[in-house]
Amino acid sequence: MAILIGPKNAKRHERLLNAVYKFRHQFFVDGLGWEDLRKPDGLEKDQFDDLDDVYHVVEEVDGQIMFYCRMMPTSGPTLLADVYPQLMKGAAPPCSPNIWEWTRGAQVTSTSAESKASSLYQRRFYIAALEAFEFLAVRKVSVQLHPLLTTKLIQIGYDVMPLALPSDFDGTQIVPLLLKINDQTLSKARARFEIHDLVLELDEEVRIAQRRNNWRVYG
Amino acid sequence: MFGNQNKKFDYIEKIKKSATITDTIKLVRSISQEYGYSYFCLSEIPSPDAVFRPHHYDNWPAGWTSFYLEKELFKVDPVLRALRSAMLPLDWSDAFRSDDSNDGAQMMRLASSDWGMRLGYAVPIYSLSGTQAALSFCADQDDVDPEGKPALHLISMYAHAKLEELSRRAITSVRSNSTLSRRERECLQYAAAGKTNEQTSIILNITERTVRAHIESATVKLGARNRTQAVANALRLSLI
Repeated sequence: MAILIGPKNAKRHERLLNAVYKFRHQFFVDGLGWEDLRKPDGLEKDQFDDLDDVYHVVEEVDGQIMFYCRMMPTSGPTLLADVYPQLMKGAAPPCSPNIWEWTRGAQVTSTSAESKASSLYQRRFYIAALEAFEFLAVRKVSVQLHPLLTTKLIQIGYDVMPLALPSDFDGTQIVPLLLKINDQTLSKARARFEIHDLVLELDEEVRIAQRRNNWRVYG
Repeated sequence: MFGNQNKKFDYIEKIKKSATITDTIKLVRSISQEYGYSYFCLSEIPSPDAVFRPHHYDNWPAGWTSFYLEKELFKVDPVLRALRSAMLPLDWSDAFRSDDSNDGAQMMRLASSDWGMRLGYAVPIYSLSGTQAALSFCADQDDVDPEGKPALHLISMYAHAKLEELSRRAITSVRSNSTLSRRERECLQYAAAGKTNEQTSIILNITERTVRAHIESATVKLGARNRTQAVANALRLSLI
């Protein structure tokens, strides 16, 4: 099962979070060559990981992290607003407690022999993220990614809106997108990926915190 | 909110709202013309070892597709080769240039300019199902809007996803509406095995006219245009 790690259970998952930072370093710096993120201790941890409302989705199997992503409300600092606002080409980046930024998506890289398993974890990655958004009552998501992935997001069932046209970035291209989630998105994605069981496991303290949060919002 | 990016996003909204394959194709045609490209082609990219008969939508000049297939240009086309591994859109001229020593590339370059397709811009698309496609835009004159490329890049993703969704939906509805009779199924099975109507009529001990009638009614049920497409659809839907 994947786990949702938020401010309330971060302490309990200290070891796993550390493994996450190591995995991110391996994936983004060693794998994708994002040299700006290189750290002497091999832990890719940034200023956003210490924010109050950051959530991490991670699945670990036999000590190996299979996939990971990070989510945080755009009302606070974000990568799009604070690291590469130029991607917006002059428009204002999203800034709202109801729009969350989804970053650092990473999956285990595999040899072709394992590609079947890797495609399973890729599907579990997308379902786990949607389950997390549902649990956190997030309906709008801001992402910045390679334009190629636009197709996948549309096919998964998100209503995808470009926030700006693709920009040249570090030898490749990046496009900022706004993803809208509706009542059908998760069920469409489950049908498409043939994953009908829950992927995300929720710790009790995260559940309670979220219930209180909902009371505050709706009660 | 988006300033001069507005028009591009209007196109995307229109594609998202498009309800039929025909409307989507019309939109792609008018958008490509808006940016100065007379022609477009959205095509699957078959794997290199597969038979080259891709499913496609286009307004290529009349005769170009059959010329391309007849001359087997897909075997030498440097654009097709580049697209197989491309992550970002590419200009045809770059693909031709990087392959200048090759006679086939030379032939492809000459052929396409003969057909009024001197300038091309091709967008690679990767589907969730693992299949690959590309949307190519093409013009003879250099009056294309260079600002249009990033917009066409994004628009291509939406057009492909919309057409994929609509044809997926059409197949599902054909599947739920098409119960083939035993005879129709048998006739299609023999057609799939390469038998002529006459051969099938002998095997099934019915007249050739009856075989033709079964195949025609199966063709209608499968939403196909001809016998070949009916066989293809029936195979894809696992009905035979």
